Amino acid sequence: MTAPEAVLIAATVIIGFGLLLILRRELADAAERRQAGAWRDVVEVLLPVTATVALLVWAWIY
Amino acid sequence: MTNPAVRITNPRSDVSIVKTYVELMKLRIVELLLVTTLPAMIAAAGGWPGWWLVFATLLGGTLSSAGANAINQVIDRDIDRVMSRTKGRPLPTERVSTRAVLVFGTALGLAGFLWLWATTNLLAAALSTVGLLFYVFVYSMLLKRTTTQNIVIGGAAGAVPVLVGWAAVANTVELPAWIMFAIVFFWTPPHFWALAIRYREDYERAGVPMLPVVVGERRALDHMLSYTVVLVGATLLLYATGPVGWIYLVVAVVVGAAFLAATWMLRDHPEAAMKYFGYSNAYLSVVFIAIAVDVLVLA
Repeated sequence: MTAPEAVLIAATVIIGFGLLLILRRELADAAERRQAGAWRDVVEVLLPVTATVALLVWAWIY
Repeated sequence: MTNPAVRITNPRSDVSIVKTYVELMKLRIVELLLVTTLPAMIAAAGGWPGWWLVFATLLGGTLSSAGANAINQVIDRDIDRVMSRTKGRPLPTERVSTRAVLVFGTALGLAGFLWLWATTNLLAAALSTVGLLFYVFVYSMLLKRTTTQNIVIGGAAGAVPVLVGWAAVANTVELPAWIMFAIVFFWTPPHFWALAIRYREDYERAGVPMLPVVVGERRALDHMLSYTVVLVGATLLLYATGPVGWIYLVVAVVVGAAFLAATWMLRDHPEAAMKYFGYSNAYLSVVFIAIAVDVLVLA
């Protein structure tokens, strides 16, 4: 395994862990503030998370 | 009652007028944007991209960013008036008219677009203008007053300069440029939430739903830690995709670990929020300087 491959795996694990933390905390907060328009909170949280996952996939293909 | 800030300023003084317009450009923020643009250019070129291209891109980026900052102050003038941190700005102190600032900001933005198009390429010019429009319409007008995610999504505007820098050199935007974009994107929330912790009462008074105002200090600090974890991972991802070497990797790992530790420790010492705010500025600068140094040394 080359150094960039090892770092890619490490980066994926770290980013994946961070994204899970973000999702858990943001969605918990959004649920607590449940009201009309709560769906917007969920979309706003999912948007950057999805984009980051797409970036990770691109990095693996690259 | 006369505003004291208006009284001490002579409206006919050319120097004070120039100073007012320079103040509207918020060049301290522009400075940080440029710190990220130049390393992106160096990485795209695989070495020094040439003095003229550097000058042209940084000038164009400055014009666009300064334009966005000026227009933003028009939109936020009611908020700025009630916040102690911002009430001394040109519009709250009535040193300049709203219309004049709007014309000034629009002219700067337009000049930035035309300059970048003429001296670099259309893609760089368009990206720079997209950054300005996103900042004004999406962040300032749509998100800032309505959601705790304001600085998360709106922060994308501050990450656009790396795309502009890369595009100015390569006339395209490749994966490493998007990873640098992600680095600035994930750096932004912990950076600004630290400021929001310090000025929490200010934001509360102005009705701006910054995360620490809505969910409280402790939970905001937890969120900062989550974003910092992704940030550090993103800095590693840049090494894995090729444009930088071991010098960058060593720096990214060391300062990333230190920044994570600082974010962790801030949870027990929230009173050090402004110290952390300054440290996060230094962190981003060091990461991007490491990109530039690595490419220039190892090229």
